Amino acid sequence: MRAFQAGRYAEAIARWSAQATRDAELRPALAEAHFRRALAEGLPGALADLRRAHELAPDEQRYQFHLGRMLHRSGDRAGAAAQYRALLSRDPSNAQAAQLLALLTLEEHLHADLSGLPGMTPELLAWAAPAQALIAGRTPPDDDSPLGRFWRGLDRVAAGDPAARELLADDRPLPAAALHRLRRYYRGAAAALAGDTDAALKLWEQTYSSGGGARKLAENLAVLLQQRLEALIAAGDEQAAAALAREWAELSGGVAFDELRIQALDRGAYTAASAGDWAEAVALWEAAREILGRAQGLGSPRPILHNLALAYERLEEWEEAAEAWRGLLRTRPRRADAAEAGRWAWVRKRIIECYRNAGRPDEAVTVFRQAIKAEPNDLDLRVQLADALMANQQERAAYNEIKRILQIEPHHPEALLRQAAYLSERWEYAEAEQIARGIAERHPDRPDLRREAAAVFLHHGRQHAEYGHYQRAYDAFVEGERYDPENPLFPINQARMLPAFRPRADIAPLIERALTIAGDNPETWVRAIETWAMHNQIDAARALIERFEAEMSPGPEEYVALGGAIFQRFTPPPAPLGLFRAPARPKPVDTPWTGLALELLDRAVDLRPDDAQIPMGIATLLLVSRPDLACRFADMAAQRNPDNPDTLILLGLALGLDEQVAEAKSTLQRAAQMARRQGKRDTQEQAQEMRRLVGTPFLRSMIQAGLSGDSFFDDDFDDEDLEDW
Amino acid sequence: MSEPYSDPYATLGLARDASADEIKRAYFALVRANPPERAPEQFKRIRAAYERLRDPAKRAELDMLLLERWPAPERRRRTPQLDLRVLPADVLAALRALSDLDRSDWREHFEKVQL
Repeated sequence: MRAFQAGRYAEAIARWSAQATRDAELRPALAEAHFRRALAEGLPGALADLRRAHELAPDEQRYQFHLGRMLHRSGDRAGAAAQYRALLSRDPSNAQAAQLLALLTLEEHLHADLSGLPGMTPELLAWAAPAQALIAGRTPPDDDSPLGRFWRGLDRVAAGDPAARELLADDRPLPAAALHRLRRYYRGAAAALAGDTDAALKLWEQTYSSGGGARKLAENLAVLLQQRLEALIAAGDEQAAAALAREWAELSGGVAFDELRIQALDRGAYTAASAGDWAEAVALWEAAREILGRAQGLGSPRPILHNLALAYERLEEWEEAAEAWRGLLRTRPRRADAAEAGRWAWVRKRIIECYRNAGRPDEAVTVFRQAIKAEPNDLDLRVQLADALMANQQERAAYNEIKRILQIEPHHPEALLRQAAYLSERWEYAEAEQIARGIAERHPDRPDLRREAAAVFLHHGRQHAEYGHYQRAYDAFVEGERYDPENPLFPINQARMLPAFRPRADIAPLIERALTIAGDNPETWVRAIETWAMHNQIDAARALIERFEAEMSPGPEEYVALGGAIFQRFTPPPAPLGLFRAPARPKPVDTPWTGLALELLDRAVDLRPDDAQIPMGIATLLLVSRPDLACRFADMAAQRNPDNPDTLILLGLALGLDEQVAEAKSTLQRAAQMARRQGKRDTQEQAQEMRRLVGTPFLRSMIQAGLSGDSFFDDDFDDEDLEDW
Repeated sequence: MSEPYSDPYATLGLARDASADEIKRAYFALVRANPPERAPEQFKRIRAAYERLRDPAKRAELDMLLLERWPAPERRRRTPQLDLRVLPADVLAALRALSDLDRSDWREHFEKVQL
């Protein structure tokens, strides 16, 4: 009883059920508990409770009425009608049952005559009369109550009469919330009838937000939103169109509306991405994906998934990016030509990369293992699994997978390339080269595979050069060029190696060959000029610089790259860092080469006289090896950008390294003051710290270590120790 | 905000299926029109775009990294018309709202339990 009184009907039912079999007097209480639980919990459980209550107390009309009502609500009209009629046969005065029987009868047969139903009274007939009149196309009885005006408003809407607007404008309360929603919807319909679609749209938006109500609401709202969207797109207001489409992405609409929304969302996302707002782009493409997920007949979702994945990558949300790529992969056609297959292989690589960046390389392995289960004969998929295993640092498993592929198809080029890479890693160069050679020879019409085969030789050539095996390096570059003749690195590298073992060789043809292949790329010119510098041929270098300027109009970046490379090559390296002794200031050495390098750097700064970044970059480049020259460029940067404390800090450091201590300290003091005025606390502290170091041996050591990435400490010291220092 | 998206084909005024020759021609024409000393920013953009397209291997990779546009429909679909009829379903929904069918408070039907 206490459980019943506290509303814990389940507990009360459990206890009373056990006793009711023995004690018949408990049955009414048990029935009431079932009844109360039915009303408290509603459908679907209510039906069983009400049936049980009716069984326990068959004479209790309340239980039978609610059983009928719940059957009615659950859609079992025949069951409901049977209960209502049984009840009315016992008590024809039960107005509630009679009312619901009348409603049910109209739901079954729109034009049914209600007068012959059991329990019908004049009041009930009057209650149903306006609805029956509307269904039959007759005008409802005249009645100026809020409800009467509602019915008459509907009648006017049905007649297409704009007068409906005035009748439905009545704001007086109606007996139920659902009626308010219907009145607002039809108020919108009346506005639309009068040509006021703006008012209609507003009313329908409100109705939809408050829970809907009318059968045609979503459909008509979609029509007006579509018109609004078309107008915004026609006016070129992409942002507003995208915002509207996003706001109503959840609304289901027709194909035309879906198509338009996706178009607006895609355009908006593209514009957001072009402005660097990738988060907004993601939100818009996600809305487009949501619409596409529901729609039919709109074509492939690939462009949206592709863009979404790229946008997530830009945001460095790697798991989401991987999921989007996986979504794209699921749209892959069963059969694909070579170009298509390449595209899908690229997507799979992207999945691996994204999971690796997310710190979940194992997930990529799982994805590909699952895919292989579904398509065990897809060898390309197995290659991707090998890549995923490699990314997950399972080298042995990766290699085994490659071997498995080669057992099935011994000439599978992608598997062979990976096998070659694996052998290269283990310094088994001859075997790796044999494989690369075989791929190149077997696929004369596949420049992509030949390029990859050539890359094996490029890697080997570089390794040989590093260990001083110049002839072997040269041979590798020669063979690489055979397979990838469009790569200028091969002739350039041959030109760099050749004089080491054949001092009188003429390297000019090799350099010319590189320029013929890729003379449209300034980088090739820079490398070619550097090659002359490597062989100490200053006249040839100058002649090539003149040609470079005549043919390519180099920008400051190229001049800086060239000047910096020459300086690096012809300036003695800084003294090594020692734990107990700071390196000495380098002695400036001026040679024809440093003169040429300086000329080039001067040309870079002259090309953009207002740009402070270029002299700043040069000053940083020269800071350790030629602080005297670094001072000149840092001063230039400070003059070009006098309000930037960072340029002053750089100038102070250059002066400090050039041992102009007083000047350095005062410059850093000015930098600290400027940073303080600008509210840049970190910069201020940095300037003050540097000022303290000026004049001590630690300044050079610290800058040298910072720029070269060297450390005073053993490798065992971790990053945190270094930061503390 | 991170780095804005830029389409090198658009920068060079080219279609995505432009040939290597067309790319080179467009680049040199634009560089002549925007030399670095006169238009440094445009020059930088043009150079960067060209750098991304000149190498066929890099270009294939780049093509994958370009955003894809949602295709414009081949023909415009007709905007559907408003359907402003008064539907019997709505009339019956109004009648239902006026009935006890969906009422939630039935406390007057509760009866005291006496044991």
